[in-house]
Amino acid sequence: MKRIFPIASTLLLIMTGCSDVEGDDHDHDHHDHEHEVITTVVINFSSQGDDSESLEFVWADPENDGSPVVDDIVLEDGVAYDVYVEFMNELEDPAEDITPEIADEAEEHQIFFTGSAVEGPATGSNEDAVVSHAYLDADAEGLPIGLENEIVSLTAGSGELILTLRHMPEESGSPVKVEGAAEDVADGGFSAIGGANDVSVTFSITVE
Amino acid sequence: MGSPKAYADPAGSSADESGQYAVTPPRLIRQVELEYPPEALDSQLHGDVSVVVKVDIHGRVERAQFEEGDPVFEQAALDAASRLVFEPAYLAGEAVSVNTRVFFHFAPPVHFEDSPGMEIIVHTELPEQSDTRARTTLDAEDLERSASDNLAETVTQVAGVRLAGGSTDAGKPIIRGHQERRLLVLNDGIRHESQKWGPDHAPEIDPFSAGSISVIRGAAGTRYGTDAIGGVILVEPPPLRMTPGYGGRILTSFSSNGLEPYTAFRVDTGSENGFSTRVEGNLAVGASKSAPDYVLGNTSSRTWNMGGVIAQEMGSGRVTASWHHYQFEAGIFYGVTSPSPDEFLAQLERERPVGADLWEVSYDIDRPYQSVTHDVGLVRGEWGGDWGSFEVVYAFQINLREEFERVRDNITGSQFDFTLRTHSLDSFYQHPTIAIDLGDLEGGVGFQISFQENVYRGLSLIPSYRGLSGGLFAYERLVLERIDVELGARLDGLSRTAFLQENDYEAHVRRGVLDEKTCDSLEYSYRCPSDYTAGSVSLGTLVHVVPEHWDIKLDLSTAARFPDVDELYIIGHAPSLPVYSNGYPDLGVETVWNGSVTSGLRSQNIEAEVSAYAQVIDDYIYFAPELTQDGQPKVEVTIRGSYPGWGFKPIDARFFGMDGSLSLGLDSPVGLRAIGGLVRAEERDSGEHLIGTPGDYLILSFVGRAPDVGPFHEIEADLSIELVAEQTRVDPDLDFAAPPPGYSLLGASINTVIGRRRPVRLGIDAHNILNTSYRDYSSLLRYYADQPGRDIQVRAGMDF
Repeated sequence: MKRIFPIASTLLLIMTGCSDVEGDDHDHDHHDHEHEVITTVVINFSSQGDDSESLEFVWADPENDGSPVVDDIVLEDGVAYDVYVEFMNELEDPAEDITPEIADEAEEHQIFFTGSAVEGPATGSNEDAVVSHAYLDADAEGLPIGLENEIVSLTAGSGELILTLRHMPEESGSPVKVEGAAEDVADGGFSAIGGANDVSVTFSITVE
Repeated sequence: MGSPKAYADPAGSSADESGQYAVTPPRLIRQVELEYPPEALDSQLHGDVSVVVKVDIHGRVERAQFEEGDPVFEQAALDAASRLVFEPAYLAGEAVSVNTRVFFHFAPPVHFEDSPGMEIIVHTELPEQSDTRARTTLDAEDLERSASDNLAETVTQVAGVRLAGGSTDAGKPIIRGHQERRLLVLNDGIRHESQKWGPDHAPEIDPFSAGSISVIRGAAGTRYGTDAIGGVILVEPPPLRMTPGYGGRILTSFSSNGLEPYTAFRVDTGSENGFSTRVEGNLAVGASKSAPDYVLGNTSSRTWNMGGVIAQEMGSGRVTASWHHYQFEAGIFYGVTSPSPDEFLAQLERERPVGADLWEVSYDIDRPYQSVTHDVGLVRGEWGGDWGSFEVVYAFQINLREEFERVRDNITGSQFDFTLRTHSLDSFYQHPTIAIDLGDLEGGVGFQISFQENVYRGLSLIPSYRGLSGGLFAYERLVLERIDVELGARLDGLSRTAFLQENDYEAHVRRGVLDEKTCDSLEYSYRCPSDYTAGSVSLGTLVHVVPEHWDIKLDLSTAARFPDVDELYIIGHAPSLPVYSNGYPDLGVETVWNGSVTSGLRSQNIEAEVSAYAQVIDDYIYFAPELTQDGQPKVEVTIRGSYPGWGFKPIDARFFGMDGSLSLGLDSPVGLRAIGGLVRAEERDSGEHLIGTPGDYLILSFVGRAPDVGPFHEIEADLSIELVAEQTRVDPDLDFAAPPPGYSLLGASINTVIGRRRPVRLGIDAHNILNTSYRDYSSLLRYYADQPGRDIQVRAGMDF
């Protein structure tokens, strides 16, 4: 028994010695446990007639704890806007811009604009729409991405705009993002397309 | 049954209960008629006689020697003993010749003239017969027939045990309506410690390393510890080889659904000086499984296990050391995403999952997937003598679990990472049998101490924690001629400290469920301690109404469960389900009051057992939708969408039901087997049925046995039908989706043995022969896709 105890206690130390149960600084550790966190969505509107004026609306949950701060979108009637969408991770300091990663993997991503206020490829015709949406960008396959868009204010009124970032990685080696995804969403909702939501946020939108 | 009975009791047969003996004792398989000696009739004498018999490798009695008892019974006892037939004793899978003590009890016939020849009744102390609860043991043959199945699939051979399927090639057992949190798994006597709280976290135990698996249904907290609310699964290794030489087993199979080859081996050695070794391992590689109408994309898996044991006889005892490694990597079905509530409901309406056309049968494991290892090392010392027996075991377990989500390419590594380390020390002293006026007293006292750490790295989900727990228990069993009474008591305690990340801590405080005063602030976390204690008692009675033929067991037990760390502190979107989960840090100890009546019937051609039970559970921790203060469903807004908030809350519950099994024609050319069960689970106040309780079920098997054909012997074929009723009682509004309809599945198998000197066991098993599309209420998959379709498995095994 004399011999067993030192061995056992050494083993015990080896087995528990590297414990970090009390937590480490998770926000800054980079050892293999990276997370795909998006805390913030920024929509940037600039008038096609006058791109010096741009409007920025933000949906942000900077602590990623379910307490978001959301801007209301207010647009002028009868204006065509170029609309850029950005995604940020504000848990990092400084905030990390996720948008380039989405652009790099455009074949697996698409942004959809839906909601009561919108008429566009992902909604079909909508009598109540106050804005119309169209894609201005495309991936290598010629399919829309939705980082660059055109939104035209149609009439004064208000409603909801839902912005959805859908991640559609390949399954069994075949692409999940296919032509007509927005139209499929218009016909059958998001359950009609593959993949899963990375982002689905709702803004109220008013056209004055 | 008016005629008086006599019975024999092969001594030492209780030895296999703990699996700690080298030799599996011989088991009586043929009874003979016992003659009450006419010369004793006048005196109407009762008498106990013991006879030592030598049982040869074929199970025949080679020699019988009168040992003790009234000489008037000597000749009758020797005559009967020499005609007994046993299943031979086994050592490392090989039949061996052993001496066994057989007890006979002679009782005078009431109407001797009416029953000139009396049936001898044999009382073999199999564990399931001495337990005062419903208990079933799966032996090596049962286990081999579920080659390549995981532990949960294997134990569904027991009545009352169902499978909770997951979104991977893994599953969790359900015993009497209770899932893994409320079950205790003891692997080689050690509490199996894993991340058992997750819906996709299966117990990491390799069934091939078992020689037998016993399932105890019902609360058994006093003997086995906390969590034993629904039941206990005891995984016992096969006995080591204690005689010189070597032996072992190889087993291989191939399953058509998932194109899964499986191979396993075990090699045991023994030596003159009492030193034994074992090396064992197995490997299974499965491709994606298929439902009848589509491939279940990314359900491929890879499993391998490796283990070694060394043991040395030391005086009147033995010291054993072992290490087992378990490794499991499995894709998570592509169809299980994290849908929004609307999308979830919409996809339920679809006939086939949206991506089904893309999915192919492949051995590749793609994201999302899980990778799990479990290592257990132990050192056990056990000694016995006329002072009783003593056992002490130190064990170390480490369970690593990594989960890999679908992420963008710039991210490598896992998204959820858990490391659970457990050190435990278990000790048990059993005193020698004490003869008192009433009968024999057996019993003992034991303790368990365990230290555990769980380190979690990942997004908000559960905190890391550290815990120290201990238990102290004692039991005494009074063995009378026809009645055993067992009393047990136990005290358990747990002191656990959770380390909450700042965001999670603040979210709990903001929700108003965590009192700031209970936690201290550390550099990177908040330290939140909680302590629990619980006592449990049990009273069990076993009545041998007709010894060895018919017994009735009555059991009254309590058991406790301390809340799991996720129930207290989880926060975040639950993977696989369209809800946002919230823990409740104030939860207390869950206590069950359990009563059961079990009756077993055994004769040459019939085996039957039926058990009825009722449980009252105080502070049952239930996962249900949360309401706001004005009674509206709570909605949690996240960047991925809005989800209904679900939380853990204590309710008072009751569970009751029945389960049982029946085998007819055990050795006849045709036979019938049936197992089935039903469970009702309700909230006591409202009478509302609890979500997740399995539907009623019945499995019927028709068995045919053929005479030997050439080198083929022990030819047995069966055709079975599994009938599962729809779970009609739960309120569909409280579940994520209405329960699926009931279903019936057809299965068949053929088993035989070829050759006699080196027999090879062959088998073909077909499941879901008609390739029926169905969804199972207990499976997580039911929300997303049909269960796997037809599977045909071929299997070959041999001992050497």
